[in-house]
Amino acid sequence: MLRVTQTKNALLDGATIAEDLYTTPKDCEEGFESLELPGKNPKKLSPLLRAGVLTTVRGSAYMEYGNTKVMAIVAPPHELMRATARRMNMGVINCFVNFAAFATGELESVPEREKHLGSMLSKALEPVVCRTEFLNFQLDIRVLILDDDGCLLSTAINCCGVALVECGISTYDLVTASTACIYRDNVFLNPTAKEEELLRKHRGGHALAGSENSSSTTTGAPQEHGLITTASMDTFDQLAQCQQCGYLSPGTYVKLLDYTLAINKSLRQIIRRVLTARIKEQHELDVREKAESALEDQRLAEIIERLGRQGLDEFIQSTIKEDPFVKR
Amino acid sequence: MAYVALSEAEKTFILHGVEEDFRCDGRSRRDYRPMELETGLVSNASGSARLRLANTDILVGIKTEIDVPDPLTPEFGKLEFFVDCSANATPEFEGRGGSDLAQELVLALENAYESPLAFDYRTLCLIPGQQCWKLYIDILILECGGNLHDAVSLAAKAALHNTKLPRVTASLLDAGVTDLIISDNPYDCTRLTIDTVPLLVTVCKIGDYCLVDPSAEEEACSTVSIVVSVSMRNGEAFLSGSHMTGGGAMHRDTMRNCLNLGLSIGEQLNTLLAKVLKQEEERVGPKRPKTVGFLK
Amino acid sequence: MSSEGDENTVVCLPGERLCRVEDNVVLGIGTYEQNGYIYASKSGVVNIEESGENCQVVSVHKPGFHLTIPATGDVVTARVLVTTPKFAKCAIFCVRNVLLESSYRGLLRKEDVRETEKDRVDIYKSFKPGDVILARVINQMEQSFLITTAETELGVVVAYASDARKTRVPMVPVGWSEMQCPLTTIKEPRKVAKVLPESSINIIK
Repeated sequence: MLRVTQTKNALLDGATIAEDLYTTPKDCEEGFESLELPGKNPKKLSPLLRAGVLTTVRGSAYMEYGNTKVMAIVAPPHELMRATARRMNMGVINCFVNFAAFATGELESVPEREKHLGSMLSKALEPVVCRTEFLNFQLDIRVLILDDDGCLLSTAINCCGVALVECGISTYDLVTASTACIYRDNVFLNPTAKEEELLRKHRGGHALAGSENSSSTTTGAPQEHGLITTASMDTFDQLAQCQQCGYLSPGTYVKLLDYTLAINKSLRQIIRRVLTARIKEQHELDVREKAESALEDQRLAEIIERLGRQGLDEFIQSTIKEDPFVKR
Repeated sequence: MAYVALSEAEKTFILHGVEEDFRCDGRSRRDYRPMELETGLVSNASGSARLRLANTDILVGIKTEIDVPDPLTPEFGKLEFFVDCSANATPEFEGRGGSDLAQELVLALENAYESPLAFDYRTLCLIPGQQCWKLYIDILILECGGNLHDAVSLAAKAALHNTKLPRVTASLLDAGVTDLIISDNPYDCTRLTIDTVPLLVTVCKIGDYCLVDPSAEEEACSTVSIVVSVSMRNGEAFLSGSHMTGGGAMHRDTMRNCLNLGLSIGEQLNTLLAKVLKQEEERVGPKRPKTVGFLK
Repeated sequence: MSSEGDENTVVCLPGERLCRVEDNVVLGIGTYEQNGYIYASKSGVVNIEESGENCQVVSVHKPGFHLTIPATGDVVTARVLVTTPKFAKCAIFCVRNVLLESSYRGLLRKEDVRETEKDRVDIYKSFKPGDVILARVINQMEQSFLITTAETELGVVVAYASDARKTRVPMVPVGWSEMQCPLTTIKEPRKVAKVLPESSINIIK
């Protein structure tokens, strides 16, 4: 995208050299033309999802969707740090989102986006986790974004859902999330960064300009633009989180909502496949370990039997004074 | 929100009341608690408003500054929100306790005001690409009695209506730099049009029913609530932002019901607020009442 | 629904319906109840065990790593960190036979050290920082677990003599309230646990 910076030449005594000042209408148009409008055959992007990628942390997952790469880490619950959060009657979930230094081009907005994503992520994951099982504990979920190419929140939610299940934390259901946005009557599903930029940066600026250029006599409907991210748990058709920004009429809102719910259903199949394969893999490892520890137990049992036969127990009991403080 | 201790019996009582459309204080599920609004209290701010919604007390002050617009949107001004949860509201807000709640409110407001169709940023533009107005909207929560999102957005909208931007004229110097002359006359000002400015409506789900304007006790009983930002344009209600809070999940059909309820209530609130603000404006001259402020 | 593995292992994912709730079916770990059915809340292998008369426990076990949090009644292994006249702070690093990755905080109060004459306990004569103890969890407070050693099988298992020496050899219990260092023959008071010490097992091997 064209980015205009006003350069200040210190040699010219305080005057500024301004470049192209008016950028919005042209910029928007160029950006929009360069997009591939979703045509008759929308190309299906299948996400890459892997559970248990790290050896140091128990619950970890890695997901790639298009060019967006996200990794999530879940650690077992530990005691509450903050005193004020202690009055809750359920466990506390904290989400920390971090962008890698090379993840995105615009670095000034990163701290704000990290905070925003963190709070939205905790809101989305609270209904999923059985928080009654870890009262007075807090669950830390860390998300690392390696490459930002759009729909970060939904990819992060998917990734965290898998990491939670991998860590062994009780959840009510599998959670899946996806994003849909509308710009100038074109619906983009799981938009890339370019498409999202049109909405966020230019703030649908063309929405106003467009409605003015058209005939001013007819009060046409405003150019709707907006983005909706939905996280759902499909067993009971529950929505864990539904976040919308932009400007939408209720009808469009419900239409986009239904699109995202349909995508969520198909994502759920992929997640189930990955998790089932993982369980089978772990189960085999477990069976092997159990066989080995059964041998170990047998060896110990033989030793104890031998000790019993040699009467070591009685020897210890006879030479040692009884504990006077034990109830009879 | 403020921590309220409720026993199981109290929760059941509230639940039954909601089912019968008769809440603890006699309201129906669609009623708001009585509100008091006053604008123009703070003389040092460009615009201010105070809203009292039963137990919730919000004070908003708006200050204006000249700033350089974002290069990607050279015709747009800027808005910046800041929420301060005062320790007077609840003991929990002492120190950094209220920062999470403040952060959440700021994000909700920023999301609602983001679209130029909701708030026309071009009215804040002075010289495209060079100078624009930046409004700092500072919200102070004095008392927390439930339903903070609604109260904060109502007070912010009223304060924006009350904001007086001094009239600016420009003269061109050489080297292309324009010099701005800001009028000193306190009555020589422009106002902002707030017809499409959005209002946040919290729709709370208790049991199987949705209600608006939950009190602090009702909030403690609910599992999930959805905050909808409603903006009126040409008589139609639009959604300019929404998210769910509360830590629970809701069914898709429940969500549609909540949305519809939120939209219709938002529409009513918008018309009511516009009417009240207009009434307050018309009381000029000898009919103008003295500023009540915090005396009552 | 759930897929069949080999040897009749039934694998399930969170949110899958397992069975209907009936009188003789009890919820085990990794499950929750909703609308009269039992659903899984963890991913893993489904186990249906018979317990008691006609009682079946449905539970889901995750193979491999188990997320263990100390529950009330579990015997835990802890290391004593700080001793004060009123209580001893410990770090729980092992629950039953599962080693934890990060330790939880445990609190051992003066009244919970032994069963009789609880108020005349001297913590300094029962534990010293660095001792490894076996204890049972009685409750979970806000920031730590309350543990007790008021049983014969609970108490100090491994302790080192207090004098600073280069070679540290674990002390040997000589009674239920004393331990002796094998090198210096100094006896020190501890609340000893009635367990078979590992040294005796190794001798006979």
